Amino acid sequence: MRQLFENGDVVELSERDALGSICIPADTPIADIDAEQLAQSVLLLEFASFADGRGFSLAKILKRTLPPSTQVVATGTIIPDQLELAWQCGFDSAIISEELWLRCGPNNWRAQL
Amino acid sequence: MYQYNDINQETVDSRCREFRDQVERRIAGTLSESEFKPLRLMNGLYLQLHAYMLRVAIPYGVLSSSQLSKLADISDKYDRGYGHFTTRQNIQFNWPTLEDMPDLLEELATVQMHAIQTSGNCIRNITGDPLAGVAADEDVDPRPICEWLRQWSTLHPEFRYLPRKFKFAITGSANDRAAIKVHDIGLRLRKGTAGDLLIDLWLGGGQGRTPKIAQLFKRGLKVEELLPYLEATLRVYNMHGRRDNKYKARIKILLSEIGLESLQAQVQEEYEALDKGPFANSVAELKALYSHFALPLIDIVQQSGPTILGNEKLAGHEVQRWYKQNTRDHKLAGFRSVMISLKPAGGIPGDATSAQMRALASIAKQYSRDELRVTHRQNIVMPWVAEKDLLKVWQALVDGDLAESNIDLPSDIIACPGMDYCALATARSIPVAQDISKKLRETELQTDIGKLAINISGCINACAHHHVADIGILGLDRAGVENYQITLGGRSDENARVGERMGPGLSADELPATIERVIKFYIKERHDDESFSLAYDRIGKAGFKPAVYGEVNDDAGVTA
Repeated sequence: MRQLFENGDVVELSERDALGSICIPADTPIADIDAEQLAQSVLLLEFASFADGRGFSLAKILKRTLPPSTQVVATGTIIPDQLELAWQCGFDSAIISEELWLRCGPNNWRAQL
Repeated sequence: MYQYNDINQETVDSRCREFRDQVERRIAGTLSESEFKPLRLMNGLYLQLHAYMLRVAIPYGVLSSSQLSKLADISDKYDRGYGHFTTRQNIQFNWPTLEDMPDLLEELATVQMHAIQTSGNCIRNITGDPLAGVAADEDVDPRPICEWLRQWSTLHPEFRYLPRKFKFAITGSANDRAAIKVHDIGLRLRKGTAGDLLIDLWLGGGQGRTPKIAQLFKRGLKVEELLPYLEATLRVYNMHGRRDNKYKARIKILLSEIGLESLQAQVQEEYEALDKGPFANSVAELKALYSHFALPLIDIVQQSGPTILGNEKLAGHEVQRWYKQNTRDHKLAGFRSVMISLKPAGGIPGDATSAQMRALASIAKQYSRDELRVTHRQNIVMPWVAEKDLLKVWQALVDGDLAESNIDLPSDIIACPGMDYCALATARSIPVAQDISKKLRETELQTDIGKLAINISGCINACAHHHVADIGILGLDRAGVENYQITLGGRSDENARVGERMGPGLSADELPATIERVIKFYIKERHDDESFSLAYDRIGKAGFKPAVYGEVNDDAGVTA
C-alpha cells in the first residue's frame, strides 16, 4: 500500500489498516455513519469505483462536522487524475494498493501530487 | 462578450496539457479504456459509429467572429469541412482522430474555447436565451449570471463524477427561448419590486425516456444565495443519486422518487449547514463580470436609416419576407437581431460548412459587433445589426447561401445526427428531416402555417427535443425496421409540456404525407391565428389522431 499526500510525500504501508483506522464505503449515507466511526482519529472512505463521486461530497460534509484533527483518507479504486479533486474536497491523504500504484504508473501518481 | 482573464486561460491551457498526457497514457496503455472513457468524455470526446466525435463548448451560445473562423479552420484541418451545431448551443465535429485531439484542443484554446464538460456525468455547458442582452422583451440580461455559473461549474472538484449529466439553462425573459423547464435546473431571472435581481429555480425537468417538466423548487433566491444554494442542491443530488441504473440517475427521477417537499427540505438543511466562507467574494466577482456585457454606447441617430418594410421600392421583395421571418425586435432602437437559418431545403439541420462559417464570421465582424449566437433550435443569430445595414447583411447572406427565410416555420426542423453518426441512435433522423422539409416546401404550406416546431430524434434519448415540439417524431428500431412514433402538442417555452403519443409508429416513407395531413388538419380547424398547441388543447388527441393515420377525407384534399 502507498499513502499519498498533497505535499508530494509517498509513504509505503505494509497494509492499509496499519494506521489502526476503520474503513467505510465512500457511498455511505451520512446518516448511516455511527458515532464510533465518527470518533476515529483516522477515517478511511473506500471508493468502490472511480466513477462514483459520492465520496467527494461525503468528505466535504465530514470535514465540516469532524474535529479538525480527524484525518479523512481516500482509498479503494481511484485514479491519479482524482487526487487533485480529493484534496480540494478535504481529503487529507489517499491510500492505494500496490497493484493500482503500478498499473497507473508511479510517475503518473507523483505527477498529480 | 466575456474575455478570459489569465486564470481562465491558464485553466484551459493546463487542461490541454493534461489531456495530451492522458491521450499519451491511453496510447501507452497505462490508462485502460474504461479509465480513459470518463476522462475523454470530460473533454467532449465521444466514440461514435464511425469515428471519434468532439463536442466543443459554446458557453450560453455566444461566439465571436474569430472563434467562428477558428472553428471553420478546425473543420478543414481536422474534419471534413463542416461542423454540426447542436440543441445545447454547442458545435460537434464528426471525424477527428484521437491522435490529433491534443493539437486540436490547443488551437481551440488560442481563441478561448475548449471542450471541457461537454460530456460525461458532470455539469454541462450552461445554455441560455440566444437573444440575451438584446431582446426587446427581456427583464434581466442573463449573460453575467450564465458566465458566473460557467466559472463556478467548470472543473468543480466535487461535481465531476455525478450520478449522471447535469444541465442548466437560464433566461431573463417571460418568453422562454432557453427551454428552462426541460433542464435539470432552469433559472428564471427577474426583477423584484425594489429593482433587485431575484431568481426562480426550476428543478427536475428533462427529456430522454422519462420526459418531465421542471417544478418550481425555490422562488425568489437572492443573488448572494444562488451559488451556495446550487452547491447544496448538487451535493444532495450527488449523495442520493443512483449509480446502479443510469436511466434512473437524473435528478428528475430523484425528485419523483422522494417528492418535492422532501427534496426541498434536504437541500434547505444542507444550504443552512454548508460553509458560506468560500462564497464571500462571489458577488463581487459577479459584479466584475457585468462590464463584459454592457450595452454598447452607440449613436442611435447614425444607426437609423430607411427600413426594409417602409421602403416602397422593396414591396413584395424577398428581403421583406426575410425581414419578417428572420429578424427580431431589439432592445436598442435602430437595431434588429438577425437570425440565420441552418435549415436550407434538403440540407442537414444544424450543419454549416467551413465556407459558411467564414462568411458568417466576416458578416458579423462588419455588421454585428463581432458577435454571433447559436440557438437551441440549431440556428445562428447576429445580435447587433443596425436597421440601416440590413439590406447589405441580407445580400451578404444570400451570397453565402445563408438567407433561407424559414426561422420558426415548419421547415426549421430540429434533428439529431441519428443513425448517420450516433452510436446510440435506433433510426435515421437527418434523411427524415430532409424529406419532410422538401414536402413542406413543395406544397408552399409553410407560409400559411406560421410558427410550428417539428423535432426529430433518432432514439429515446431525445436529443432533438421531440417531446416538446408541436409535432415530435421519435425514430425507433422494431425488429430491424425503422419505426417512427408521432407525438403532438408538446412545447418547450414558459408553458412547457410533454406532447402526447398518438399511437402505433409509422415507416419513414409514410412520414412526409403524415406530417402534411396533420398540418392541413390544423390549418383547417384552427381559429384565426390560433397556435398549434392551443388548437391541440381545444381539439385534443382524439381529434388529431385520425389526421395522423389518414382516416379523414376532407375538403382540404387529404386522402386516406
